[in-house]
Amino acid sequence: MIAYLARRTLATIPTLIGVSIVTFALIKLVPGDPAQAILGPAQTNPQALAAVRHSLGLDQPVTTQYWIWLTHLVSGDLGVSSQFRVPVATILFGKVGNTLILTVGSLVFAITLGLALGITTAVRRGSRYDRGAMFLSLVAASAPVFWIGILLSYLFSIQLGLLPAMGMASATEPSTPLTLLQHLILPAFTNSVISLAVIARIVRSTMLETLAQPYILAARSRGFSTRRVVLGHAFRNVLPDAINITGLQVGYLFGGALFTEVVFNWPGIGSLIYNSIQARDYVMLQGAVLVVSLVFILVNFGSDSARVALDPKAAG
Amino acid sequence: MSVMNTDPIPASKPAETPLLEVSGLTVRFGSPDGEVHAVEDVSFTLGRGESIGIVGESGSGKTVTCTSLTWLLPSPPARYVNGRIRYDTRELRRDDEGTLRAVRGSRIAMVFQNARAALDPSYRIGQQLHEILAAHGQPRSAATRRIVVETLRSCNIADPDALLERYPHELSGGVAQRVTIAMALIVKPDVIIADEPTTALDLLSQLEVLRLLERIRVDIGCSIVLVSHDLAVVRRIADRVLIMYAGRIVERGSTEALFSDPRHPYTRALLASSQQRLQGGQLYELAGQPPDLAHLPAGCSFSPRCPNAFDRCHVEDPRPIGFGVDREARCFLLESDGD
Amino acid sequence: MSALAGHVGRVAQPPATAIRQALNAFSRDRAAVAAVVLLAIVLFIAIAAPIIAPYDPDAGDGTMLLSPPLTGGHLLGTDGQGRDLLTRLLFGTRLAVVEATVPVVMAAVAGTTLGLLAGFYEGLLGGLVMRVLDVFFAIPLVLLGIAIAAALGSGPPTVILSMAVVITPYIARVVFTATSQLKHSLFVKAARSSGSGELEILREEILPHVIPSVIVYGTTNMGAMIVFAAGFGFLGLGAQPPTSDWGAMIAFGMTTLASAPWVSTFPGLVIIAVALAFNYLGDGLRIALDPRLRTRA
Repeated sequence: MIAYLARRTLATIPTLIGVSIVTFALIKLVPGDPAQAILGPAQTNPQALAAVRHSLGLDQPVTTQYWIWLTHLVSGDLGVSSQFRVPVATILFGKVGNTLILTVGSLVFAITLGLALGITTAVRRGSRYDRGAMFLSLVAASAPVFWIGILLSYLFSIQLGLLPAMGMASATEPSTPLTLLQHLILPAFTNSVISLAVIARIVRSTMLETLAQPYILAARSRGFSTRRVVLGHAFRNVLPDAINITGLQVGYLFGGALFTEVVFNWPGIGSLIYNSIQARDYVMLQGAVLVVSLVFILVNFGSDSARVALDPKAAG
Repeated sequence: MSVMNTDPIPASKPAETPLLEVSGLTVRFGSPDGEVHAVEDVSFTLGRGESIGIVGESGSGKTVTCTSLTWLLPSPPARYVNGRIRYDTRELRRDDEGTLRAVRGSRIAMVFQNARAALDPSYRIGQQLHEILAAHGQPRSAATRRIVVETLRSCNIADPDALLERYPHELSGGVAQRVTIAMALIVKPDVIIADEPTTALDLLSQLEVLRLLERIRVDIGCSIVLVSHDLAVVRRIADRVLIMYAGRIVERGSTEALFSDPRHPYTRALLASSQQRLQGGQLYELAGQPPDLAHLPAGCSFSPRCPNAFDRCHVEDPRPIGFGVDREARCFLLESDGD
Repeated sequence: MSALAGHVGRVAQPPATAIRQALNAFSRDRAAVAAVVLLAIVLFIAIAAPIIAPYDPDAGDGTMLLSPPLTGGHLLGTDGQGRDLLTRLLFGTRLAVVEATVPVVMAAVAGTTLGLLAGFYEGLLGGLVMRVLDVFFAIPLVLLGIAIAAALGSGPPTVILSMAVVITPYIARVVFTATSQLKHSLFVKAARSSGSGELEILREEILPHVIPSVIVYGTTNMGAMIVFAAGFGFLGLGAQPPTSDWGAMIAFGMTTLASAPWVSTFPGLVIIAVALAFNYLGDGLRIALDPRLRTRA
């Protein structure tokens, strides 16, 4: 286990460096002259432009620029947002927290519904319920996340008035865990749909394999009820695979929250990225991409380690 | 192995009703090649304390038959076309989940061929034994622990307390099989169905398991259905034998009678090959291939391989013909003999 | 991941027979055939949109804003600017087809090249290539694409480029795995001992076996590409208004969701249908191209 952790950590370092390079390069991709952008198109005095370029460090070779940027990064300075005029770092971490809340909510939906669906369709293999559920999950997995969000928002919020459609908290009532939960349900479910479908599919297939095992027939021959056989014996042997696939989904859920946040106006890092694009706040965008990647890598590292801890064979 | 009863027979003793009655059991499976006729019109009875052997090669339908005695096969893919089963005067209906669950494991128990595969790899032996008791109304307690330990001990397990903590993969084949036998008899069943219980074991363990089964029958008076392809194994234990081929019972009778005077050519072939194996002689070769259960030949299903087959055999499927004392065979040869 | 891994010897059949068998197997898969029909229709629509569409996609009828479906001569209703939804969906097909296929083709070429080289030469070069690709895997797919598109400026060309960049690592990985396995197979050893040069082996022996995998992977994921491209449109990074873009149409419908839900709903349904079609197509191809997966009769 220790060996696995050490290996993984070592392997992550070059990846992190690579990510920082890519993120840095992204800003360099933006066409146009940043100095011109700051001073405005009217300013044509070459010295004024050169002065601004110098203050931005743009007259240095690219590698030096990267190094300067990296050192700032490591000390927590991610630059100043051009739309909010405050350091990027101060805004980012609160937003990450909100996205994590959304991710956890999505995970809960994905796991519980995915397991339930996977187990019940396996036990009722070939039935209309099974075929219907599998088809529906295929459709859901083929649909754009934002469209699902819009549809659900229309059905449950606008038509039925059951759940709020926007934001994380109510504008009128004080914020309580209950109101948070209310606001969390639709976006969390929307974000979970694809993972739900994947988990259901894998659980179903593992379940089918397990149900064909001799010890399941033997258990039934001992007069065990279906519930005891399925939950006590079949499920127990399906669990490792289920945990495996869930671990793989966690990172995806975090990184894929962007569309959900936009549709439901959830104040997380996805919304932030969207707004930064609209406002051409590239510094914020860069910081956000970096932080999301970092969290993505950490989350995957964590879930992979948990998987290996539970099932040492997975370390391969 | 039947005991000669020399007591004077009371004037009007009613025939004892059989413990288990199977009539007309027919099971088929769908497959890409067509429908497989696994079991066709199988009927037999089992008396209290009696032991019968069902003998046949793989594909003969013996496993499907014994697994169907409590309607255990998942259906689909199995298709129960026909069949009635009566246990202890009650009809066992396929849709009566409640009765089936009550009967399985506590009145009619099964022992499978691959013992380790019949045990859940994630649970300890002790847990699995306690589970059976719990499922049949005896939740875990000091009393149940005693029952579990005693049952294991009665199955010749040397150190039951230590075994309770083991996982299935830690056991040898012989020990695992004795554990599954313990699991079968822990709620004191009336019937134990053993499907090839000795096939996966070494010779020594085979003998142990057989002796154990025989002793169980004597000690608690349960009936035994022993399924095997090995005639020698069946001869040791069974009072009566049913020979199966291509899903049908082709001959039946008491063990002694069948072994001394086999009538069906298939039975004769089985006996010949088993005897020659024992005596180290030349292998008796039965010509032809095992039948394709999805495309059975017209007439008697054994006819393509039968050394005694004549024209009628290839056209007509023989009905069971009774002869002697409680003997029966599906063979036209019996008609020509004029018994 | 198919036809390659299990093959020890070269496919001994002449290509014509193999193709015929594959076609046979494929034609038996009803869902796949239906998918091909649907996609052919989509392609036809993309080409013939100006001819078959009832209205002008960019011109809004101010008198018929937000008309419900089946009213006033608009089969699927109109949007917030009075533009006919059906027409815009038909025209949107053109963008969708281009944005789904071109990136995949580009990524297939780039990814196959990278994967072949990395897998074949392994060692330092291979390791380096895969490490670089790992970096791309470390950033969430959607995020990377959006960031690139945001940096380069919106519009179909950047969408196409972003998508191509983002998918290339996945194809490269598939090809890399296949190539590393095939490298050790008998027929490669045979070719090598008979004096073939390295590049020749790559081209003649390994590439033909890798191509089916890439085709299956690409086709199955084209559905995801349609959804991905719609995502760009939804965020405003795709074609700029008034051009018809399915994703942008969904976003536009969000503002009038309560009164006119159809504006967002129909484009989504179309996307789902096309994505499903690609899914079934990819499945059918996978089974048709891998003899081991075909069931008898």
